[in-house]
Amino acid sequence: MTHLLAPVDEFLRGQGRFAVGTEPVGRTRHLVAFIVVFGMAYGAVMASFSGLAPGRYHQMLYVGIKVPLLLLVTSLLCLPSFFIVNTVAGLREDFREALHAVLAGQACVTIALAALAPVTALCYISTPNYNVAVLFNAAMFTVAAAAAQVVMRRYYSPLIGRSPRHRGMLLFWFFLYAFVGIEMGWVLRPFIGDPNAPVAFFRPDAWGNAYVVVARLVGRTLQP
Amino acid sequence: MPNWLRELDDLLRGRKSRPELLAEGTGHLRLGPHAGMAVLLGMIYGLAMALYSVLNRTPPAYEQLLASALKVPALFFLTLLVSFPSLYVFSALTDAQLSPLAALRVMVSAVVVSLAVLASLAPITVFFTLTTSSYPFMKLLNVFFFAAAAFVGLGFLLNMLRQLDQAQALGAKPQAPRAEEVTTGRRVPAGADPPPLNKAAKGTGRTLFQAWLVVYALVGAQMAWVLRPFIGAPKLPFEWFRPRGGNVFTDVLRSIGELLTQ
Repeated sequence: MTHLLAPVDEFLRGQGRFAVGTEPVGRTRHLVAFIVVFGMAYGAVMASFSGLAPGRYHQMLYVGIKVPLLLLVTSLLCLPSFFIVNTVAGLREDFREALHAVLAGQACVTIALAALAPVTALCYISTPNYNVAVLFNAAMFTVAAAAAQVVMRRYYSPLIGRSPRHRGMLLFWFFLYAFVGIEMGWVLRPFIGDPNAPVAFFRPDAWGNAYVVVARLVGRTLQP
Repeated sequence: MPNWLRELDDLLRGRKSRPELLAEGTGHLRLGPHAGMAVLLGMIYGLAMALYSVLNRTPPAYEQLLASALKVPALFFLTLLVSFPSLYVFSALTDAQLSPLAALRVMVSAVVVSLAVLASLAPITVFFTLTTSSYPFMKLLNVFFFAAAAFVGLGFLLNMLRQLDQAQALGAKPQAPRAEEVTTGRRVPAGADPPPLNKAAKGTGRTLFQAWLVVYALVGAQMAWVLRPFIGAPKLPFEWFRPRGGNVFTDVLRSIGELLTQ
């Protein structure tokens, strides 16, 4: 067990193979593995709100697959433009490190989420209210994203020291990733699972656009 | 890496805009290969845009794929065609010593950069096309992506012009000792010139160039309107070009309104 967790400890402390400035041998592999393993762990707990009833256990497997999928596919979609914009900004030499930094941020999100999973479980035990579950998960994701800033900053600060343009690149990644990630999260619903709805990998009506829904809501609010 | 890809890579990395290289002229910004790359990159994004017409129509409008793949590169080249004469006049006024051919080479390389950024956004466009049926949303998303790509391209252009300035200074350095140096025997520090008059002209030139950027952006936006449809409104039949009338700015505002009220 300690053998398995040793890389995680190294990662969180920024030591060993994850130390800033060391040659990143096998780092990408580890980071992707973290995202998959810990993302699956939190996904399973997240879906336990509706997945613990008999005949619904596979909901936990579905969501366990969907959480890493959400992060990795979003990254994959944003990667080409991140690469090109970095290149045009004259920062290609640092791209490997920049890529590790954004992957490390996501790995940290999943590790923090997995660590918060018991808290989520406690919340689920305390209330059967679906809306509370949704809001609680939103809060957990926010906390995890905030924790990931520590890691992002750790890897990005030497880059920014080399060229202040990296600050703009980080901002670019952040907005693009959020823009695509929000839609990806919307498409991959359900994550928590309404206990009254049947278990499904995708919702039959989920194929839609989160921003269009928000715009419609705003429009309705603005109308007299 | 194939040769053309290496060339594109060099351009994007700024290896072709080094002052040492530019001091010897702009011959390394080869027009043919760059135009070819621009067409290819534009076609990639055109296909991504037209996917909407394939997915949201019965029967799917496959013609739109061809139309948009041709129109995206055409948009950039026609915009260049319309705004090039004014660029040349403005740049001649700035004392940039840029021949028309050199100005064209620099502009085409900026177009390649814009289209590379646009093509790199294609996966995101495809993802949103797959999940969105709202036409105003797709329109606004594409307007935003085109604006972002043009912004990066113009940033590249500004940088290139700055490097050209430096290249000129570089080219001016290894010259014969000046008359005053010979007579007084004292070295005039390099970079002490240009004379004040020249500097003032440069300042005006920069303002003129910024004014030209506005011209370029407006021409590009309106050219896109003239060449429409790129995405294809689901309620209208496929056409190569829509009838004349309207303009892009009121349409963007109307699209925002539609998005809010649909």
